[in-house]
Amino acid sequence: MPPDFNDPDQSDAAFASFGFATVAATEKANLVRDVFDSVAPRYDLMNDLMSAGVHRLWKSTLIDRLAPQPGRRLLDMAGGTGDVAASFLARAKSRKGAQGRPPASAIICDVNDSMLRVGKASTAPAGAAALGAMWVCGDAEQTPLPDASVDLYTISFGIRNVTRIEKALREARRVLRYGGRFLCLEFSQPTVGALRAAYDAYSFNVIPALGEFVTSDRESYVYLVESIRRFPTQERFARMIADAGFRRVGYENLSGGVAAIHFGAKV
Amino acid sequence: MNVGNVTPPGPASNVGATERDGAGDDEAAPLPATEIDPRLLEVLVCPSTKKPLSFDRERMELISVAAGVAFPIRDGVPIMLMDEARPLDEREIARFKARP
Repeated sequence: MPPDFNDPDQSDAAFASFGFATVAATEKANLVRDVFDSVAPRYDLMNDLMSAGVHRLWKSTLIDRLAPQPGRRLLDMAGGTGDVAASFLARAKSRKGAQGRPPASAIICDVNDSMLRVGKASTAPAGAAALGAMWVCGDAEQTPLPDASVDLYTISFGIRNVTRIEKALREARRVLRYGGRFLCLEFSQPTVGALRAAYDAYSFNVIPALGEFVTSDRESYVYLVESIRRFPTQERFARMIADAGFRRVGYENLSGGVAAIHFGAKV
Repeated sequence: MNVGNVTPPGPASNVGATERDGAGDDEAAPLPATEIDPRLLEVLVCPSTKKPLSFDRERMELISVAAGVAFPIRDGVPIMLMDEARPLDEREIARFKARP
């Protein structure tokens, strides 16, 4: 019988889920890296098409919850091409009284340097590169930052791709300062039955076809859809965050639970 | 500051670790695409041991003596993954240990 990957007790199991397939835990990281290497150049475009632009609204809500302020340091894990970090920096800068105060800073960390490269080379005036973000290739399970070194930790559509989620959550808490906050934006489970059926039909039929059309890579998007279904429910993921030592844990459903923002504080 | 300046800056290197620190700069000055952000040199640690790193500017590597490995820097992006790190030989470890 295959192990239950959503079961925190089996976090150190030798197997991990890769979409609906079961692979050796050591292999998952490489497989996930291949997926993102393959889609990196058109990743942002693909997100727009898949969600009809809604992922931008979700990310905007995430930035609202972050409440960016001058002087704060953000670690955006799985930050890819840097869209969340860019919004964070721009919002912090536009705060009243931001002038003359030390600026906010953002570290974009991703296990895929191909994604970072796309973001870092971008010349878009509102992009993270132009706003002075830092770029580092690193693993959420082995974060290359000291204890208590950031004020905010975000991970958007990234935790699902981590092999040992519990380990990544403990690392998130470690690098946060006391009083710091963890926020995770991820696909989740739609809470309304009718929505769930429509969403299933869309994601299993439309998204792989769209992926094939835009990136010539159907398989990567089949993985994407399957990995969303394998991810723990809202309640279960909230428990995992609490088990990692976070306090004031909760979540907020977005678009009827198609996505959710989970949060916790290090106190 | 936890980064030892392993190689004295040569004539080609024009970015010092203090150039963009503090000073309340609102806008970060643009860096050459292949140069590592000096603010990262200040903050990064070894992903495995969480111990400080040394910057080897000549080879463009970040050295973890504690883990006995060197992390490459590609296009200005430090690659802090254990499975992409280069194992140090004993001579190198001795050399980096000798540094203050």
